[in-house]
Amino acid sequence: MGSAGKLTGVPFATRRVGPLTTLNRRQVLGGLLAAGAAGSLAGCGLVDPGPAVPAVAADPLEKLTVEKQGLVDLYDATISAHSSLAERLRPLREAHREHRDALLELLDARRRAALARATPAVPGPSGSAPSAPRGTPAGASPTAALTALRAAEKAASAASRAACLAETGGSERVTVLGSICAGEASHEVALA
Amino acid sequence: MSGEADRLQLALAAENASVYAYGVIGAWLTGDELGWARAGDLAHRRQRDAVSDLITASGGTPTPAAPAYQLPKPVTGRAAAVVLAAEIETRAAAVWRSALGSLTGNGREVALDALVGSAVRAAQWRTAASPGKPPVVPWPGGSSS
Repeated sequence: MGSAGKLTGVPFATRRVGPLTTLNRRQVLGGLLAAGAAGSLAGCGLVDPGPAVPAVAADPLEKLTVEKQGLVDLYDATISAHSSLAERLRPLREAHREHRDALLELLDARRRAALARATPAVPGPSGSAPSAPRGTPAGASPTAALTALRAAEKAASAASRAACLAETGGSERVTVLGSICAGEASHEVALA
Repeated sequence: MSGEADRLQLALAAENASVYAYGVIGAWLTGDELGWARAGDLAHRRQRDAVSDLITASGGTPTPAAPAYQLPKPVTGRAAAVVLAAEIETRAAAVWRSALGSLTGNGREVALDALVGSAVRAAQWRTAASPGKPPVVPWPGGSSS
C-alpha cells in the first residue's frame, strides 16, 4: 500500500512528534506490535535487519502502551456486544485512551519513528482504524463481561504498579505510571 | 528543607487530617458505610506511621498532629459525611501523587500504595454520594501533566 510509503517519508527522526495529533495512534501501536515481531526475526538471522534505525533502546513503556491499547479494544468489544452496558463503560474506556496517549507521549520520538518505519502493516494515514479490535472478545453475558473487565483492570493495575516501582526515567514518568495504576484500581469500583 | 521533605510533611499532614476527619465521618454512618469508614481510618493511620518513618529515616522530624482540624463544611448527617469522605480521599490522593515522583525504593512504594488506596476509597465514596453515576476519574490526584 502507498500508505506505508507516506509514513516512511515523514522525517520523524529529526523532530519531536507533538501530541500525536497527525499520526494516528493506532498506526504507532501497529508499529509497536510489528516491530517486536521484526526484532525477533532479525535476531534469528532469518531476515536482513535493513537500513540502520536510530540507536534508541527499547523502552519498557512500549509494552505497557500496547497493553493499554488492548484494554481500549476490550472495552470497545464489550460495548459493541452489550449495549446495555455502554453508558457505564464509556467513561472507563475514555480513561484508558487517555492513559495510552499519555504513555505514547512519554516515548522517545525517535523510538516511535523507528517503530513506525519498521512496520509494513501500518494502516493508512486516513485515520481509519483496523476493522476488528485485536483484544480479547467480550464476555458472553453482561455479567460475564463485567467480570472479565474487572479481571483485566486488576491485571492492568498490577502491571502499572510494577512499571511505576521499576521506573528509572524521571519523576514525570513515575507520576504518570502511578496515576494510571490508581485509575485502573479505582475502575474496579465502577465495575462492581 | 528539600522539596521531597516538604512533600512528605504535607503527606503526613494530610494523613493526620484524614484520621481526624474519619473520626467525625464514622459517627454518622451505619452498616457497610461504617465499615468503609473504619477501613479508611485504619488505612490512614498506617500511612501516617509509614510516612513518619520515611521522614525520620531521611533525617527529619515528623510534625505532630494538630488537636483538631477545620473541616470544609460542618458534618450534620450521613450525606455530608459521605461527601466529606470523598473529599478527604481526593485530597490525600493529590498529596501523595505529588510526593510520588521524587521518591525511590520503599518511599515510592509507600506513596504509590497510598495514592492507589485513596483513589479506590474516593471512588467508593463518590459512588455512595451519587449512586448510579460512574465515579470515573482518569487521573486520580490530578491531571496527566
